[in-house]
Amino acid sequence: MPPDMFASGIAPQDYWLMAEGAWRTILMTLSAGVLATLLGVALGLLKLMPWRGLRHLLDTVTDSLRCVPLLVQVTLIYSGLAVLGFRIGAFTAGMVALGLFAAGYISEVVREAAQAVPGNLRRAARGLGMTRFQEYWYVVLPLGIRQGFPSWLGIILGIVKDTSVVAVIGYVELLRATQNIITRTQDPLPLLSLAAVFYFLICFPLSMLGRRLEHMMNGGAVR
Amino acid sequence: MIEIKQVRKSYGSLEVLKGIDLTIDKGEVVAMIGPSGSGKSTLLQCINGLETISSGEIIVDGVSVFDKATNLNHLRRKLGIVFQSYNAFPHMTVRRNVTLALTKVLGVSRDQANAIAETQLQRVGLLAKADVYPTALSGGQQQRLGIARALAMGPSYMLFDEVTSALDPELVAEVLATLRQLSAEGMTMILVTHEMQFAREVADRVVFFHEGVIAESGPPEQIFGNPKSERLRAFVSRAG
Amino acid sequence: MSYNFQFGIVLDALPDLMQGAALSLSIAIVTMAVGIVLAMPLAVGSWNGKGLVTFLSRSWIELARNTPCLAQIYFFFYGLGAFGIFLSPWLAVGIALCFNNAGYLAEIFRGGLKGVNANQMKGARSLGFGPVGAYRYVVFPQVFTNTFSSIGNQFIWALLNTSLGALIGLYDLSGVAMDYQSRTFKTFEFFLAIAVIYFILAKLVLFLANRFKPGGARHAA
Repeated sequence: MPPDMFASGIAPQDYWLMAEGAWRTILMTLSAGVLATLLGVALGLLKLMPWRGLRHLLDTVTDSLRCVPLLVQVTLIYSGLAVLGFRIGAFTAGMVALGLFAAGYISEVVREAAQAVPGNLRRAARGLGMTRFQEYWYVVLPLGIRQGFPSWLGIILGIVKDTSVVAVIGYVELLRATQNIITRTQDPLPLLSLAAVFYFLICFPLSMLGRRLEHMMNGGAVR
Repeated sequence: MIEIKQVRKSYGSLEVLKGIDLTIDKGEVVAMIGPSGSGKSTLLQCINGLETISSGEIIVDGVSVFDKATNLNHLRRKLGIVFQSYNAFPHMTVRRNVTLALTKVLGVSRDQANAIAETQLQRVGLLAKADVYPTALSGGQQQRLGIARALAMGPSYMLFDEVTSALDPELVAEVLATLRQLSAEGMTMILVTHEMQFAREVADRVVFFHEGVIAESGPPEQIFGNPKSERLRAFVSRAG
Repeated sequence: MSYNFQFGIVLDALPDLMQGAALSLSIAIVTMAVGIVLAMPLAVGSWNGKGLVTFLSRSWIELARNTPCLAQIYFFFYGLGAFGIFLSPWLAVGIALCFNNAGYLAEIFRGGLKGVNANQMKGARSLGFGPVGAYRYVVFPQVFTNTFSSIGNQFIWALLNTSLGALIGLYDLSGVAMDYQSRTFKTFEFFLAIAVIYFILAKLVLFLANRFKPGGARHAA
């Protein structure tokens, strides 16, 4: 490797620090992803129920989440919980903020996926004497998962990238770890490139997968 | 004059034009007939370079279409074309459909372009529809818009690619009336058509395509009245 | 609860916050405008180009979409230092967001290009338009109409992404809030206030987008 690129103050343990940061990025993504999926599916199903008032309320909340920067939401949740007397760590606050943010999007995916299930199939299920729960469990869910999976994947990829924002409350994920080392070594380019490669290697294959699945479904769409 | 010399064209291993020779003189109306897939539409789109050829040459008024030095955009102003699919621009009014290329390609002023558009829309009977969007037009009206749009550029030749094939039967007549009127005005026209009766009536010469070659050509009376080959006879009787 | 909310300080800071909001909105508008202009050739290149053109435009799109926007901002702010280029915060954020918007918009336009009938291109070319003129006057106006709501969403994203500039010292809406919180320690109050301001700005953008949505009058004729 060219000496002028890596000969600077970057020490071997710096790469170890970056690896730790990368691990925290993955950990945060998985935790927030699970939270967002559980919450998002629950919210999405509630939005599908025939309770108009609740639907409007949930729509307003998830819609508002989209209109405020994640950076602001993370800071608000962290400081807000502290104001209320809850002492929580940066990890928990970040997970909750990211999870809420993504849950709003997932609830929309759930609703759209369920609504894309042809009405005659759902009526057929009810016609066979299924309960509403059975209709959802045996008909809407299996068909809806296929429909919604690519969008869900896209949202999870969004979380991978958005973990970098949680650095604002002091959670040292990959990008923050990188920045810490840069502050000391004053050698930004190789480290930033390394961090970018890490994100890219996670996101790019998954986004290609998502695109392929979407393409397949559009190609083989019924009607 | 349009000279087509030994033109061949292949898509992969499929040869759709197998050595076409054809010359069209100024003022002539030539109808190209033949079964689907015989290569006539492809040849028509080759004349103004919308399709490329594999070998041979096409010369329009002394300019070789596929010569690298030829400015195709320039040449295409001479060659108006109307397609089977009505491709009116849906995002602009009928009037703007006609004036767009006048102002942006030829650099004509807005006022002048509007005047030209009104003349041409009048000519195809669409002046009353000048300010609506194409979605509000019937298929026949959209085809007449396509004709007006091409005519506005002042072409020396008009190419018509199965312009009535996608139309409902009751709309065919209005488009044919416009074509008939153009031929009466002395416009040089090349038509790919499935309307045999119409070809017989307006064409000076009819060219019969079959499997990538010109199987027979001549005046309409000969082609329809006294076809030489068995294939043409079969085609004419089927197309009735 | 022992906490003492002090929104009075926020009111005093309102003029500064408004200036920050104006900067956020201006950066969003400018980077969207530049992004749209850049995204058009990128979309065409990645969709219909050849060889190097396709490779470069695809690389741009995939890099913009598959790395964090904050990493992109860091790249232009810190990373370019390796080449002796030192950008001010607003320039670094501006360039990073142009890069980011262009990548996302190009992907949106690529979808839109597929939706425009190939005959439209032929129609334009047959009238003597070159490829650039055909895309400019005939194809892209239709792409914009088809993808209008996605462009609107990207605008919201651009607006929200400007907040990341605060992390490199940009004095945008978030930057102003961060500055005040570091002096007053009233984090919650300031961030709640700017959350409301971001919300209002985003809603304003969506309202205006709906207002000027193309295609409405078109079918009424």
